[in-house]
Amino acid sequence: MRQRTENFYAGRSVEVQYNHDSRGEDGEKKTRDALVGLEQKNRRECVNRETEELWQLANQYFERDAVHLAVADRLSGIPSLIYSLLMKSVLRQFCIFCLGAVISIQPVLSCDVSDDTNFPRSAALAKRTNRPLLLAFIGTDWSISSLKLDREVFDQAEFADDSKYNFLLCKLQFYQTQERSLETIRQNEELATQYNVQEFPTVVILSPDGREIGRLGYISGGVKAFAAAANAIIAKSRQQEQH
Amino acid sequence: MLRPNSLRHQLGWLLLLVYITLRPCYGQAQQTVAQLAGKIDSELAAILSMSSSTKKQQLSASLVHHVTGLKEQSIMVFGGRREQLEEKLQQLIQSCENWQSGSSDEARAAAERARKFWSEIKSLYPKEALQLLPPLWSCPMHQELMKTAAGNCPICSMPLEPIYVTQPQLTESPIIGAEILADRPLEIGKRADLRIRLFFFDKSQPVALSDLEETHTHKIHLLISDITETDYHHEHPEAAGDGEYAFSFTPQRPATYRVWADLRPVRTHVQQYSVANIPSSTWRQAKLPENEPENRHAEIDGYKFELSFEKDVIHQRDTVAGKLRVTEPDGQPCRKLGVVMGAFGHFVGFGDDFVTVLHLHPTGPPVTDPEARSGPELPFYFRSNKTGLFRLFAQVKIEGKDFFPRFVLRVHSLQRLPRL
Repeated sequence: MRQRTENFYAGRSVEVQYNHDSRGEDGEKKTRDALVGLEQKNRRECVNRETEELWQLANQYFERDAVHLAVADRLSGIPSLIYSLLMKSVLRQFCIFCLGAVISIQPVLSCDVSDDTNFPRSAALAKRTNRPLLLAFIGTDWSISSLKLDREVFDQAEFADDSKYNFLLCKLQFYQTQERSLETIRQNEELATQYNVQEFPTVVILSPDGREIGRLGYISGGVKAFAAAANAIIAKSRQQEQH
Repeated sequence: MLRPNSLRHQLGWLLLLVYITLRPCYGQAQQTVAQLAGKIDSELAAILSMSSSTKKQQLSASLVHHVTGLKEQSIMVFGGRREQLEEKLQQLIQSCENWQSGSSDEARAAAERARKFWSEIKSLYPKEALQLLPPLWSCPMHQELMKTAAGNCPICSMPLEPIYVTQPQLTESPIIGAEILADRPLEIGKRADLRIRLFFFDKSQPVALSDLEETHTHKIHLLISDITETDYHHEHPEAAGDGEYAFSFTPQRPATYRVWADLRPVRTHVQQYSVANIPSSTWRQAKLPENEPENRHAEIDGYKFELSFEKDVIHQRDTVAGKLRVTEPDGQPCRKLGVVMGAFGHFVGFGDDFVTVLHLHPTGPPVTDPEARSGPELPFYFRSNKTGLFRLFAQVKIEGKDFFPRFVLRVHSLQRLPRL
C-alpha cells in the first residue's frame, strides 16, 4: 500500500500545469464552441428561412451585402447583431482582427506548460511528497544561459520523467520584456533577496523541509549533465543527514 | 420597438475606436537593461566633447530618461545591492544635471564623476544583464538547438524558427488573415469552386504572391478539413487578382469545413496559418468524436499504411521519431512512393480543438528529381506541446495517385501528480 501511495505521488511537478492545461484547453474549447455555435445558429436560421431564395437574390443582384443585410434583418436581436457585425464590410476587418487575436492566443496558451511558478505551493508539495525542490531563478528574455538552461533542460520531456529524476521544479522568471504580474514580481524578488541571488541563472536546491542544500548555475550537456549534478548534491546532503 | 440599426452603428463605432486605440500597443517591446546600458555608454562617451548648450540639454535629458528606464528595468539586482544601485543611479542623474548647468570646470568634474558612477553601477549587475541577447533560431522539433542565423535543422532538415523572446520585433501570431468567398454553399460530392482572400491584418492590404515565400514548391498551401477531421484535402490555389486565390475541392462530409492557409510572409520569414471557415448548406449536427480510439493503421484501395513510433506512449513536449510504412495490396513492401511537393510524403496533424495544426516534416533534404522513388518507409519527427487527440493525415503519391491515410494519436500529459 505504501509503495502504491509513493508511486501515486511519484509524478514530477506540479499541479499548476493542470490549471494551465485545463485553462488552455477550456479556452480553446470555448472558442471552438462559440465559433461552431455561431455557425450553427446562422446555418439553422438560413436553412429555416429559405436559403435558396436568398441565394437566388444574390445571383440576381450579384451583391453579397444585400444578402447579408437580408439575412440580418430576418434574424432578430443578438444573432442579427453578430451577423451584421460579421458581414458589414466596414466592421468585417475588426471582426477578422478579433478572430486573428483569438487564434493568435491559441499557440501561446497551448505551449505554456511551464512548471510551477508559485513558491508556497511548490514548497508545500515538496514537503508533502518528501522530495527536493529546485528553485530556478531565470530570465529567459535577457540572459542567454537562462534561455539555454530552460530549453536544454527544463523544457525537455525527459527532465519531467519522474522515474529518473525525482525532484520538483519551481521556475521563477525575471522577465524584462515579457508581461509580468506584480504579485509574481514581489514573490520572486523576495526569494531572490532571501537566497542572495547574484548571477543568472541560479538554481537553489532545497531539501524537502526547505533548507538550502546547494546551488547550481548553467551546466552544458543537457538534461543528463544537469540532473546528475543536482542528484549529486542531493545524495551528499542525504549522506550527511544520516551521519 | 428598438430599431437595431442605430444600436448597431453605435456599437460598431465604439469597437472601431477601441481597435484604433489598442492597435499601437502591439509590437512594442520594452527596452532591456543591455539596450539601455549601451545607449548610456555611448552618451557618456560623447559627454566631454559636447559644447553647445542646446545639445547639452538634449543629451542630459536623454541620459536622465535612459537612467530612469534602467532603474525600472533592473529586476535582476536584489537586497543590499539594489539599494546601492538605486543610490548610485540617483548620483549619476545628479551629476548629469550638474554637468549640464555648471561652468566648464564644474562640468568637466561632473562628467568624470558620472563616468565613475556608471562603471560602479555596471559592476552591480549580473554579467549577462549587460550583454545583448543575439537573435536566435531553433528547430520546432529540436528546441535545445540554438543558431544565430535562419536555416535548416542539421538533425531533421526542418526550417528553423525564431526564438521569439530574442526577436521581439517578430510575433508568433499570424500577420495575414483569410476569408473564403463562395458563390454557393457546399454540397456533398459536388466540386466546389471557391476563392480565398488573403490580407494583411495591420492595413488590410491584399496579399500578393510576391509577399510570400515558397515552401515545398508552392507559395500557398491550403489544408482543408471538415469538423470531424475525417475529410482532408490539400490544395494549391491560383492567383485570381487583388489578393484573391481560386481553388476547388469536392467535400465528402456534411459538416463545416475549415481552411488553414499555410503561408510564409516575406516580411517575417516565419511560417504561419491563416484560418477561415467555408460556408456550407450541408451543415448538420456534426461534432468531433471525443473519445475516438487511437489508430495507427489505415487502408486505402488495398494499400496498407502503418505508423510506428520509437516510444509507445507519446508525451507532450517530447520529440518522437516515427515511421510510416506502406504495403502494397499483394503484401509486398511498396517502393513506389513518388515525389509530392519536394518530398516522398507529408504529414499534418489536427488537434481536437479544430484550431491547432501540427507542422510536421519528413526527415531528409528536399527531393529535386521528380522521377525519384522511395519506400517502403518514410521517417519523420512528431512533437506536440499540446495534449489530447490528434488526427494525423499523411500524404503520399503512388503511381500518380494521391493517398491521404488518416490516423488517430493521443498525446499524453507529462503531469501525473494530483492537485494539492
